[in-house]
Amino acid sequence: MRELIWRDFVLNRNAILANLLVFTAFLGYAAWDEASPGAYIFFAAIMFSVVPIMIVTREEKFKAMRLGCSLPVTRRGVVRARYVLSLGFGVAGILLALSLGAAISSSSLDVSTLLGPRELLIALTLVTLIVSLLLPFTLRFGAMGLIIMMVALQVLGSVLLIVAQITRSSADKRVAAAVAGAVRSVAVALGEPAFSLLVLGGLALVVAVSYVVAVHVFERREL
Amino acid sequence: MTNQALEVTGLRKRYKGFALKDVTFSLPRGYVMGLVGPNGAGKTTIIKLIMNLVRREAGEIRVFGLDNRRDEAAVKARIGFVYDEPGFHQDVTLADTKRAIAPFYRRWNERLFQDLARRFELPLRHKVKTLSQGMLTKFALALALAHEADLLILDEPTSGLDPVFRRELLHGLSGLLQNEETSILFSTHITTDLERIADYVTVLRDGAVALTASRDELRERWAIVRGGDEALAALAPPLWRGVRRHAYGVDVLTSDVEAARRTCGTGAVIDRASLDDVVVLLDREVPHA
Repeated sequence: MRELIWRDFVLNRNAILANLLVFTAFLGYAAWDEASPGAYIFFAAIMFSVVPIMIVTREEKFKAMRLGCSLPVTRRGVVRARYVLSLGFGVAGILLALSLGAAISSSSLDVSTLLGPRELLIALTLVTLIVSLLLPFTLRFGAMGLIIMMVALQVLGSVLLIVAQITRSSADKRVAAAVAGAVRSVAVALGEPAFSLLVLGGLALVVAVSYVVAVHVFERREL
Repeated sequence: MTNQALEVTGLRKRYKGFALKDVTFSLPRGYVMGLVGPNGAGKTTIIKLIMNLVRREAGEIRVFGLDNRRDEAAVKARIGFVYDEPGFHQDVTLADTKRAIAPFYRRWNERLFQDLARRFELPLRHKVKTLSQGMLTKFALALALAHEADLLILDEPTSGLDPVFRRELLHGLSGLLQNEETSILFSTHITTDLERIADYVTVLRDGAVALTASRDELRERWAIVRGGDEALAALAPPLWRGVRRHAYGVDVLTSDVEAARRTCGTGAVIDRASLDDVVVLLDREVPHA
């Protein structure tokens, strides 16, 4: 796995550095501009989690996947390395965001708030969900598949919004409120440490399921 | 220890409009096999199946006795490959591409790589996108050879190269294979390439093996009998294996030159069959171009 991660870094060094530069500048500006801690962590998690997706799509662009899978590795190994890299980038992004928030003197972001279990849990959930949703899809269908999925999700969202407007229904808001309420009730009932552990367990399960699916689909992908 | 570098048995794979049908052949250790056939015959599909890039529907592939799926990483560690489309990252230098690939191989020989790079005049500091197809093929070959692979798989490595470059590459290849341990599976539709280096030839047509034989056997036993229609009449199957008709008579491909001599006597001219004759005429009746 070490070789696979090293290979991704060497072959995508410039693209990774360019992304990191842009993201760091964006986060620095957000910290300086007194962004809310939630939004700040939210954007950091999203931006850094998609870096490995960029690596996969670049591989696709250069038709390099066939070469990658001809090296002495298994497809399972390739998928495992991509998950480690993705989650690693997500966590590194959060750490960078926290450091920037603390380092920028004019920032209104209080480090103790950013380091609060709630913020960290939200950030970790975001990273996990993004990686778990996007990676199997990208590994199986490539960049075009990813674009199609994003567009399809946008279209679906727009259609739901239009339907809600036309029917004057607030079902979407009620569903969201019900889910948030349920999560809050579970959190209160369990207490914060137990709830955090439950969430972490849930996230681990999500990653495990996503990984199994990704291995299954990638092993069947014909290159 | 098995004496076979590669054993392919009963291989099947279906695509829309194309199927590999029970492909079976084997390549002994230390020899070169040419996989030859027209475009779309199934050469690249077989190579992809060996490299486990596509999934087989039936059959078995063994590389040095190991199953190519169950022992995937171990098998691939012993294979060096050159594809017709190299698939390198275009915006990366050759040196960085090598740095990314070398750690995968325990037997990577840096000195050999540098030596090959010098011999092939590879500009290691240049980006992939600045190089010609020929240079990229040489680079891929240097990578394949530098990890001291026991089996080289070359998929149409000479396609897209000019004749001078092609000859140079083949010359380099045969020069590099003086040790008798390395085996090569070389797919091409340019039969003259194989005349130079192949010990065995497997001819594919429409997804099936039309013929697999040693080059010596082809040279000694296969021939073209040229004559009038009486030549064709005398050489009934199984003596004739293919026919080309033209305005002045027929060319009959035979796999038994001695029997053909006995049967035709002085009534026909008998020439050695080139690999091109075998590929074009085998099991076919071809009008003259």
